[in-house]
Parts: sequence; structure tokens; C-alpha cells
Amino acid sequence: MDVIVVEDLRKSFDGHEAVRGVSFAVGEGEIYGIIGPNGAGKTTTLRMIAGILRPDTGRVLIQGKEPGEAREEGLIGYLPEDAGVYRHLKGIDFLRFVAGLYARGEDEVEEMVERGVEISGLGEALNKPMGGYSKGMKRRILLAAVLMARPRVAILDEPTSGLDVYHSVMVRNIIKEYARSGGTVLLSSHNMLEVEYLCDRLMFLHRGRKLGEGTPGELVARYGGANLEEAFINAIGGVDVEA
Amino acid sequence: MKLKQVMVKEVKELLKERTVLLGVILGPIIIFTIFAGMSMAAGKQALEQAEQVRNYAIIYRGHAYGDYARMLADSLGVPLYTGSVDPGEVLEGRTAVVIIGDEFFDNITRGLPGRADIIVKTSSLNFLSMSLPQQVEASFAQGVYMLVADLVSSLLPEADARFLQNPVVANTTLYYRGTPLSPGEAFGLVFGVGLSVTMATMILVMSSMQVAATSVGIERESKTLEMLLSLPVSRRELILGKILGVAFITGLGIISYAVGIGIYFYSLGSIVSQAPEQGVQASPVVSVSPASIAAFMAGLTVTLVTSLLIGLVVGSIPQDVRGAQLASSYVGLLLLAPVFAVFFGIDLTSLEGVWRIVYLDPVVLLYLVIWGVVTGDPGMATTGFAGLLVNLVVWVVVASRVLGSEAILVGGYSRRLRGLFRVGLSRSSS
Repeated sequence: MDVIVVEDLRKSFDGHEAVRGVSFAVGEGEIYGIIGPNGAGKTTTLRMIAGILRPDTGRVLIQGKEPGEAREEGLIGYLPEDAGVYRHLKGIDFLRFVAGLYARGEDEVEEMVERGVEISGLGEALNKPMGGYSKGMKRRILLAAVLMARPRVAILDEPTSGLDVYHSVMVRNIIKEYARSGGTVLLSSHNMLEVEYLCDRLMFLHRGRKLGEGTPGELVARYGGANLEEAFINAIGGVDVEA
Repeated sequence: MKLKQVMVKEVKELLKERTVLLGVILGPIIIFTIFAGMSMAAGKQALEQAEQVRNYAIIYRGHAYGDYARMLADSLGVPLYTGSVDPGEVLEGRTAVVIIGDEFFDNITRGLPGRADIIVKTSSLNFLSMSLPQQVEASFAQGVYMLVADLVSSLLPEADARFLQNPVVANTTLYYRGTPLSPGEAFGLVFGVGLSVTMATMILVMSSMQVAATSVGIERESKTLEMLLSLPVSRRELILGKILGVAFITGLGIISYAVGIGIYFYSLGSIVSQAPEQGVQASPVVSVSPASIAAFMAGLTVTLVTSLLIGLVVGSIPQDVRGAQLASSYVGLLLLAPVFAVFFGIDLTSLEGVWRIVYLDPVVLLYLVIWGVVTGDPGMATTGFAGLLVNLVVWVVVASRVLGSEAILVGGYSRRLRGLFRVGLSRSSS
């Protein structure tokens, strides 16, 4: 059964059409990637699926529910690109705050927090205010906050953005592990290597339109090139130096 | 040269900030225009009062100087009443009555200042109306002087200095809503309640508004807003949670305020009634009971929550914290401006016509509650409190629309302002 169903999604901002009729579906335990350059409409698409933005037309269903309803029921976990942290809040208190919104009882809160502590791998630093965290630490605590609640759908916008190689690999492993445990992941990325490694299927998004969809291997075969990066460039008709 | 480049960049950048344009450049023009309007209105009120000053009558309670009293009234151009006429009836349609007896003329004819009781009626209490008894006294004294100065100075040259300096010694009383007030009591009410309590309230309201206004801006700047909006919590709970969080902090302010105002009211009692051992209750018009204090604190609490909502709404429209601070400062000033009008002598409790628009302002409504509570006018306090509750409901709706709109996250001023007027939101963005 498809956990995420997106049909003919459209969204404009002040006359500019950011997303133009995007449709796709993601199954349970699947990692689905959206690939595209800056301004392709990736973040807007993810925000609509997360229930933060309202589509102009089209619809999104998360386990058969409207995104707003699914979000309020705790079916969605969303990691925005370049998200920040509360400077004065300790890492452990932040995990407890988020867990308190997802959990149905105090026991479940503690269970989630324990999982969050493990996912973040921040150890003693969790007892310090997050304002002093490095960029990598911030990203890990945010990812932990999203995944510790085991939402049905984890929406990750550029999950390894700004991380060094070591921490990027760590985050990718966490995502893989999460999907193996039955979670559905929808992510966006600029990093083709990352997408190739992580995603079961993916979609090329360019100027708000879906160009192609399939497994990394299928897309490389369809558009040609030595890897996903070249396939993408071929799909959009080459590099436009004016763009 | 490099300095110029940096400066030009800074100016260009700042000029693109609408908050800077509105707040720093246009704000003072708007604020001072409002103040100018208020001072013009106050000036008009002062002129009207100056005309009222001569609208008084004389009551002569003596027997020996009836002709003198008639002559004095005729020369002043005011009506004369004699005998045991009720001053309250004479005051109908007039600003004041001057009550004199035989002692007044005994003194005058001996070159001594004449004693008079002056009762002035007012429907409002402010800095302007407080000066009314002195103005009536001055007008009466001037009339007496013009009539008898030459005569007395020729007959009693040794009395000139005392008499000519002040031909009338008056005992003035201000009648406010049927209650007599001595000058000390009137001063205590206007300064102590109308100004000081209001000022303290204004500071509390302003600071709470600032905290609330920067709340969304800080979330936006620290990039925590988007994740917060994605969490499993309804927009209503999110707004309420934010309000209650800020309200908790300002609640500490309310406790501090309650203690402070208790001390202040006690000391006010000593100013008003010169009876510190009895506190403020010694005053005939100031009636502070536990019930009225509770009503006042309830009014203050509703005003604070409304101010927090206004702060949240105003602060969520600009792009950043700086803009939110500027916007809330100016909106705060606009809300407080009508209470500043007390300085100019405008009575907020008896506004008419288009000026009644200020009754939409929660700070003015709180002022009515304060004034009603302190002067023992339950009608005024209830009206103020009812207005505050209506105001609260309106701002809850406005805050829900602004903060429930997706424009809180994406888009600029126009999108956020449009969020105010958009009717409802689908569940997907609610």
C-alpha cells in the first residue's frame, strides 16, 4: 500500500509557479528521493506534503489522510533544510519537548527520548544548551527529534546539508536503518551520490516539473551518462549557462 | 572611498526594509500628527472651559448687604440668589456657584479679603477640569476688585496692600458626579489614579507586547519556526501555548504589579484624604474594596492577554526581530496615545462622536475599568470590562488567521497582511 500519494500538485507564489503538476507515490519502508537544482520546487513540494503549505490545486494523502490531519496525528516527521535550534534549550529537553507532542503517555516519552539520545549520538552534550552546538551536532539532534518518534513518514529536506563526510555517513546510516525498520522516507538532496546510495526510487524535478521517475539504475539507463549526475544533466537538456 | 561604498550599501539595504521606512521615517510623522490632533482637541476643550468659567451665579446668604450683593452681581453680569436656596438647584445648567454672606461684605468694607465658598461642577476629572475652581475664583475676584478697588483704596488707604493683592479668599470644592472633592482629593484622583496607575499599566502592557511581538520573529530568525509548524500540534494549541508561555512571564509581572499597586494605593490614600491610617477608603469618592481590586486585576489580565495577542500579530508581519520590535513599539504607542491625552486634559470617560473609536483600544477600556473601580462607578467598570472581553475575542480571531496562515512562513508583508482577511483555511494548512 502506498503511504504517500501525491496527485497533480501545484503551488504559485505571487504569480510564479513553483510546483507544476507533480504526482508520485511512495510505498511503505521505501526511501524516495526528489532531485533537482536550487529553485526546482523541492522544498515547496516537501512543505505541502508535510502540511505546512496548502497546495493551490492537487492533493496529498498520507496513509489516506489530508496532510494537516496526518501531521496533527503524528504520522509525519519533518526535517526542514537549514533548520535551527532553540539556543537556550538543552538538547535533552528539546528531545523531551518533541517526544511529548508525539507520545501518548509518559512511558512512551521516555522510550522516544532514549531512542533520540541513541540516534543523535551526542552523549553528554545533550545536557548543554543547543546554542553552543556545532552545525553537525544541530543537524543530528534535529534528525534524532524527527526519527525518534518513528513517524510513518519522515520528510527530510537536504538531511546532510552542511555536514562533513563523517557525519554525513552517520546520518545516511541512520536513515537506512529507519527505513529498514518499516519507516517511509521522502527526502530531497543536491547530492547525487547520496541519493544513489540511499534511495530506492527517485524523481528528477526541474522548474517545478517532474522530468522522470525510477530507480537510480533505471534513470541512468533512460537518460544516459556514467552516473546519476550526468543522467540528470541529460534529462534537463544539458547545462544552461544562462540559468 | 570604501567608507562611502559601505555606507551606500547600508542605506540601500535599509531603505528596502519597509519596517525601517514605516517605523523610523514615517512613524514620527504619524505619531506627532496624532498628538497634534489630541492637543487641538484639548485646546478646543480648554476654550470651551474658558467660556464656562463665567457661567456662574452668586448666592447671598446674609441680610445686611442685600443692595451690595445686587450691585456686585449686576456688575459681574451673573444672576443672584438670596436666602436658603439649594446650591445644587442653582448649579443646574451652570459651571459654578459662589456663596457669600454678610462676613464677605464686612471684610470688604474694612479693606480685608472677603470670604467665599465656591462650588464647581464637573462631569470629568483631568488636569484641565482640576484648574476650574481656581479659574472661577480668579474670575470672581477680578470682578470684586474692579467694582470696589477704587472706592476702598480711597477710603482705606492703609488696607491697599492686603486687599489689592487678593480681594477674595475662597474655599473651593469640586463636584464630580455628585460627590464633593477638595482640591487635594481631585489632585489625588487625577494624578494618582488617572496618571500614575495608568502609566504603570502602560509599561506592563508595552513590555508584554514586546516579548510577544518578538516571539515569532525569533522563531523565524533562528529557523525553528518551520519545524515547530510541522509538529503534531494544532495551530490553535500552538498560538495558545505561545500566549500562555508569554503570559506566564508577564504573570510574574502582574504579581509584582499587584504588590506595587497595593503599596501605591495605600500611599495615595494619604495624599487624597490626609488620613494615612485609614488608607484610601477615607476618601469620599475613591472606593477601593477587595471586590474592586479583583475586578481591576481581572481587567488588567484580560488587557494583558489581548496585548500579547496584538503583539503576536504585529510581530509576525515584519520579516525579522528588528522589524517586530519597531512595529510593536509604534502600535503600542498608538494604543497608549489616548491615555496620554489625559495630559492634555481630554476626559476619556466622556468622549463623543468619532472620538469614540478609541473605545476599540484595550488600554482605553482598561482605563475605564480602573476609573470605574476607583471612583466606585460599577457601570463604567462593567462597560470597560465588557469591551475588553469583546476585544479579546476579536484579537483571538485575528491572531488565529495570521498565525494559522501559511504566510507566517513564506511570503512578505502583503501575503501576511492578506492572511488577516482570508476567510478560513483548509485542514491541510490548519
